Amino acid sequence: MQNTFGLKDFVLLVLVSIVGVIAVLGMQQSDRVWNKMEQARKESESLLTTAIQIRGEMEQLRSQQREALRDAVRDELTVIDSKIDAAMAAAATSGAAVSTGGPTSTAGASWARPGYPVTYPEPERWVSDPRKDADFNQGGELFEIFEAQMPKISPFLYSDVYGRRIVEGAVCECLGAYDAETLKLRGALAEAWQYDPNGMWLRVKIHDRARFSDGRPVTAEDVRWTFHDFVFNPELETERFRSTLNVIDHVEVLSEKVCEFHFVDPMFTNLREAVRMPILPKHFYEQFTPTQLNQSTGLLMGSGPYRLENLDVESQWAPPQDLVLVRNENYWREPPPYHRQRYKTIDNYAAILTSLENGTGDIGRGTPEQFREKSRDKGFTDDFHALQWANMRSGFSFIAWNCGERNGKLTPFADKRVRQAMAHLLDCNRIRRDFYYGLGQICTGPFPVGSPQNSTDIVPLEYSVEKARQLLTEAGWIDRNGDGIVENERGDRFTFEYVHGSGSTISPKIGNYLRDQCALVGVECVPKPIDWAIFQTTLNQRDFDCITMQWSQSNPESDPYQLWHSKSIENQGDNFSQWANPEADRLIELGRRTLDFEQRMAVWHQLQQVIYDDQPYTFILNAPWIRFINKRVGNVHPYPIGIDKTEMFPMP
Amino acid sequence: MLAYVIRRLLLMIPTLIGITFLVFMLFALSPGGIGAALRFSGGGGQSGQDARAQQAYLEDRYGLDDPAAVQYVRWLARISPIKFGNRDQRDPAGTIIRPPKPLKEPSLIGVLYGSRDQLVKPSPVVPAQLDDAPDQRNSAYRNAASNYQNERLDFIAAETDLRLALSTWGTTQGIRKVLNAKSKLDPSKLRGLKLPELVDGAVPITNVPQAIRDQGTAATSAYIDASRNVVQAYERAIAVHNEAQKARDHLANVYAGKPYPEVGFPIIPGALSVGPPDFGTSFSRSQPVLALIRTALPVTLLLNMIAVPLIYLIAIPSGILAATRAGSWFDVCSGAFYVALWSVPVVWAGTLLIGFVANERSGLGWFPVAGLHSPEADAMPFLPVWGQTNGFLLDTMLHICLPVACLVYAGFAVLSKQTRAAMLDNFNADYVRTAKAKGVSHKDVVMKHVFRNSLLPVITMFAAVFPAMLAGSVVVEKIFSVPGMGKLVLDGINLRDRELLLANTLMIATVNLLALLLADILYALADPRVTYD
Repeated sequence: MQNTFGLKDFVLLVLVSIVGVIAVLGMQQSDRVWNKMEQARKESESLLTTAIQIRGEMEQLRSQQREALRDAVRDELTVIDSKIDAAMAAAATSGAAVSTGGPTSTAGASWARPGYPVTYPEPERWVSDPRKDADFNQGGELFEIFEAQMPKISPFLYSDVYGRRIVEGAVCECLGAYDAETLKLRGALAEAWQYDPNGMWLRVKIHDRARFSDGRPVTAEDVRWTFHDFVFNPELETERFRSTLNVIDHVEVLSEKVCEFHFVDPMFTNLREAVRMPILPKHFYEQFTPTQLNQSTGLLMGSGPYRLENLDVESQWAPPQDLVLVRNENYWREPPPYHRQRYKTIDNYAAILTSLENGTGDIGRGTPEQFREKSRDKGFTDDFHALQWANMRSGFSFIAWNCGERNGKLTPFADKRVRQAMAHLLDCNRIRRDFYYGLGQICTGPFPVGSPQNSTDIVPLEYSVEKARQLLTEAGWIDRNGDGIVENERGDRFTFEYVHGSGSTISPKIGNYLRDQCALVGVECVPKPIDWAIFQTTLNQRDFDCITMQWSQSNPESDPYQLWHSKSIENQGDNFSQWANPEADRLIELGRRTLDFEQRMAVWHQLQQVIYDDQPYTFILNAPWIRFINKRVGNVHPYPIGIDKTEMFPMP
Repeated sequence: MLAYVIRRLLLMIPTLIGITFLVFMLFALSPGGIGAALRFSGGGGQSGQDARAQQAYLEDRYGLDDPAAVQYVRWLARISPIKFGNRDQRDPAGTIIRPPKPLKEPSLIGVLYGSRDQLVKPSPVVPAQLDDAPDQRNSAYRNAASNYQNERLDFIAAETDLRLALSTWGTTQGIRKVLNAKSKLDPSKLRGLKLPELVDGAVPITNVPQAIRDQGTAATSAYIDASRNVVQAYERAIAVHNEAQKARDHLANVYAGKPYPEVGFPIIPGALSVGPPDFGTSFSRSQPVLALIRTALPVTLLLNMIAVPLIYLIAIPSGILAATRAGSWFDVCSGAFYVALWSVPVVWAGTLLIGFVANERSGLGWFPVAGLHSPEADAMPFLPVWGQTNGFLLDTMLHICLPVACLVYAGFAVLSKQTRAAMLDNFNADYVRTAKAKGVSHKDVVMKHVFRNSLLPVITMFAAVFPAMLAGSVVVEKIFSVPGMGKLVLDGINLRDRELLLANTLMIATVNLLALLLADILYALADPRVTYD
């Protein structure tokens, strides 16, 4: 008997598979319905608990109302009194500068340490108030496209800038916040603080109204717990934050709303580190084991304007899902106009731009090439803001010259004149024009552009091949044998390696430019790309003649010790150009311990001049931030701090 | 046949060990070594010393500071289903709990400074008597573990300080590179040196070697400071080490009291057991590796389950057609067309597709640009509703069109040419001529005689294609932002993530070997001449 696979069998097979597929799809569908129901049930449950809480709070409030009002009026009167006193005192001494921003008063409130001035920082604000806009509108979803996948957004456990944008920018709040425009410190969760004139302690009063997104109040215990039992819990992988927050020795709870930070050393960074630590709700995070927290991707709750909908361990947000934040209706201050924020990851720039153009996404990053093309495209600019600006976070690019030994031998750049000659050879305007398409801002120092720390008085070294040649001659580099390459007295040819990361697109161009420029004065430059994985090793071993990279900052005021102090040379520290200058060391040590703002800025400006004169780095430019933003988003402004998404609103 | 299959399966074990060992050692010996990414991301925004301490913590947590061979053997023991010694325990949250790690000694103790007798030795383990209530037992363990972790981190910090102090001390005596390329102390550089004796907490000038005194006062005072720092660092390291050792002994006792239920199934209690393999936690993302694979693998499978059959469905019939009409316009054109497609780089094609097919402003705007779902997908019903919504299913299908197109187009050439060549070979064979002479219809000759016999090369191809389906395509995933296996593997390589890389290697190697075995079995089925008995 012959058993062949005929048409009938085929039809049967197809029918059976169709039935199978339908069955599977049907199951999927019922699963989805069930999930939705489950979600709805959870939501109604949380609504119920919120309602109950609100009722309880109302009752409590009613009973406290009279008392609180009386207290408030009394406090307010004291404050006004003290402000008048302070103003008069200030007028009398004319120029006793206030270091921590905002008015201070010596006649303290009940919680304050007697005899020390109390600072009432101006509260956080919208620089451009959306409610004053004629088109003001609420609701909708603000959709931003990120260019790299963030692995996690759990607080203090995330590892990248995207995580920070979510945690610090939307969901959590700190005690203080930087003003988007002036970069001065403002009060967020903190209503007032007292900062020890000697810089050893900080007493903070938290806003009475401040509460987390589940309606529970923010207390001093939350601050203490966040510091001691979260960041400094050895079982949590919070090392990244431990090593910047270790300027704080301990946090002490004084009352429900008052706590005191104690510092290890009197340093200018103390205040900023203390008030820039996001505050977490103890009652929420306490329920998880350290392993659950370490492995969590989206357990994030705070007191900020947005919150995550789902905070369950099993079904928390995890990549590669889109991250959706909903407006925190419990928010204790003016709520932001957008009801939701969505973050999606697209990891190549062409696709980001196409996606924006298709209307899938409101905000996205672009490359300088894209910016040049699109900002000239009328059709595009009718519908999109094409923005580019250098800001606090954009970072600066530079070429670092090895001023010390490489493999036991001094490099030619140990001589200051040679470094200056190199600076004369590099035409930063041309680099900006040709490689960055005219974007970015030429810089003369390592401090964030637009911040008070950055000096604007420095005169850049002019582009002059003649001067470069002259400086090289002075340093003894002369073409002694007529082969076109300069030599020193010992007859060593001037040849050096220019090291850059192999993934970069602009660094090789700069390398080729440097090689051509060096050829003009008889110096041989050999570009050498290296893998990112061994970049750090190369830096640690000082195994380069010159190297290019980019530093970026996250604070308006950066601590120069790490990069510029001669102590940071030893033990493979970050002063990898091995630049030692006693005057710079002195200024750094002085500046770090100067708590007065204006005086400290003056020190930093001097330091910047010393660095610039000595040219351990040749600063090139502050790379721009490039953003394309759909014009259906209203109230878009570039600020020195970046952009403020909480003040944007959907156009009607 | 069965004996053959079993033999092949058993042979897989040494092969897999060989493959993973090779990959691991290549990794460990590459510039930067395992965990290089930790070192790179570690320095951001912190002073050198803090970054160093942070790095030491991370290395300690993931055992990165041990020699590469030790790390490999430890990994092997964890993934092996057959376990030796006491069974591991599992806490209610599902984490595997192991006995506490031993504590290292301060660097060069007994060589440069003091003697090892100053260190508290680990005491023998005496199982602690724990409460019967699970809550009490768990919290006893938690307290002991947390305490030991605290002490251990203190010790690591002290040890880091000690190494830096030693490095500075070496530098003051003109020794270069006491820290090696991986920022580790190189003890061989300091051998033969002696610490000067301290008198009342200070180094008297008479104890400074003459060679240093000859270099001037600055060098002398730097040497004196550095020596004092080393001594202080040793004193602190020893004190902290002893505290940590006590905490460890306590924890070891509590652990031996079995605070949590044990994992697996005992064969010889206390010596041999069978348990589930543990693939560990990726240190670049601090997530269990299996969870990472579980999210990435379905995405890759979805794309390839559509792409691979598509390649076969188009390439094989057109190969058959080309063979039956060898030399015709169809043969020439399809061959040229497929080779042309095969020559187009995926990067370029993908970008063109995004620019011209996906873009609504300057192109057709037919398909979405990136990802697997629209933002609205969560609120969609599963099946499309006419005129209202695409539905979840159709939405996903639209999203994967372009990535699948990129995966597919280059695959036609090889498979159709292969089929065509095999068919042509068989067309000229004697048995085909005989069949034709017997008067068998042309259709039957092609499908039953020639095609069946041309299947062997196609099976060989399948053995190569199937494992590649799991590995994913890095380029396509990157262009269309599809979070699949390719990206996971590449991240594992770039970040030098030991667990992620080894788990992926193991998985891909296993599937490869299984596919080869499957292909061999299929040969036997397709060709009666092949037997394995």
